[in-house]
Amino acid sequence: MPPWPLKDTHRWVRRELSAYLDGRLEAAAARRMEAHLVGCARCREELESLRDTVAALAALPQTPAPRSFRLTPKDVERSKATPVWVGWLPALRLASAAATVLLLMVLGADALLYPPALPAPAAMGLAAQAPKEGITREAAQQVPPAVEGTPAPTLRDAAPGAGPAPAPVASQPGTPAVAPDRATDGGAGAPALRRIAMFLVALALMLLGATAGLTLARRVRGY
Amino acid sequence: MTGGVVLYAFCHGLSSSLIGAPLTGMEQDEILVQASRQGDLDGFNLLVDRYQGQVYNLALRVLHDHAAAEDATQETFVAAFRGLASYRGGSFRAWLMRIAVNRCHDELRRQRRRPAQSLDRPLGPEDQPPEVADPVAGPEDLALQRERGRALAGLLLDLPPDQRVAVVLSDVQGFSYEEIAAATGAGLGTVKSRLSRGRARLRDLLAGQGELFALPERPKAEGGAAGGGER
Repeated sequence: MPPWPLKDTHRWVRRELSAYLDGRLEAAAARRMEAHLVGCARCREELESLRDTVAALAALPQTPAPRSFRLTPKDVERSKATPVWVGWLPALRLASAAATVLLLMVLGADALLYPPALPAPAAMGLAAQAPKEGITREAAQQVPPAVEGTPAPTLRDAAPGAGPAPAPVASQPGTPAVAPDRATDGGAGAPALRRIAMFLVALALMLLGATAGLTLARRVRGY
Repeated sequence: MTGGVVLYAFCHGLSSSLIGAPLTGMEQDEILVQASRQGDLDGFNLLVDRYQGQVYNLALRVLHDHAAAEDATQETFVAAFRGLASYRGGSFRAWLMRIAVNRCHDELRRQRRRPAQSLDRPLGPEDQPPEVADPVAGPEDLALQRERGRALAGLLLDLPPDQRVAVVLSDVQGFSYEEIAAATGAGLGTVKSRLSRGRARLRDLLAGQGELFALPERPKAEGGAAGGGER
């Protein structure tokens, strides 16, 4: 028996008393329990009160079944008549929950990666404070233009299939400072995410509608 | 008498007469399940006769409402008959109780969703059906037994449902840890933990009941620890 502190031994004994009462302790653990019980009146009392509790439960009278629950051919027919879709409900609930979670993830990613464009007048006013502006624009400005006059790469260029993008508008004096990704629809990243989001919105709504409808039907019909 | 029942009676008679050893309960269940799978409703109803008391009492102790327990019992047997194909052997009683436990959890969830219609109330004297009483107990003992039973059934409601199910299966129905694990879908460690916590909580609740559960003074064992392992 490891030389445990007495407090830990008490805790262990109280946790294992129930299993000890049922004879479910390993031989070594049972010996340790008995060795402790010999010298600990408080734990012995705990054991006895637990034994009384189990005895009281065992003495609970059995209530006879109020009627026979034998099945009749009618019961069986009725159970067979339960529509197949009743069995789909759990899967449908899971699918609608998953679609909702996916939708939230896509919307979250869209909001994080592609922050909404600033309103034009405000953006113009802030054009002089470039360092304080959004991540997208900062990132765009940090990319060194390869050749004077050629479009600088932007974040959306990373998306496969994206065509050449215009230079960041902020670097061109007189042009409204709008986040390049939101300024045009030519980019691939954000619209792709939006398309996925739209698809997931439709899927989640469809699944939620179906689940709600079938659950309601199940309640009404009593399946 | 249909084929399954004939088969059951035949097997029972054959084993008793030739081998001298009657079929065990599990073997009889197995034969009846095989017959029921072939659509033998009479065979299945023998299983209903055998287990309806246990299923009903489990539901009653967990739900604490006669009407809800009755519904849960009926639904359990209907679901069991429909789902016989998914029974893969082992303890039929534990398999059946798993269906019953799931029905009880469904009902408890339904009650939580509609607390206004909650059936979670102590059963009154008018709710009590006649219970099987100890035939040798006197009238006073019987009254005390009833009173204790009613109080204890009410106190069980203060346990979380998982602990309540484990305590009822173990201490009221006499299930082994393995059967409880099969009936609840939990591991043996979880069963042990639920029982330990449930019993400890119930003991504390009983201690608050005053004289009703006060047991006669027992002589304090000097040095000799009261042993376990009798179950």
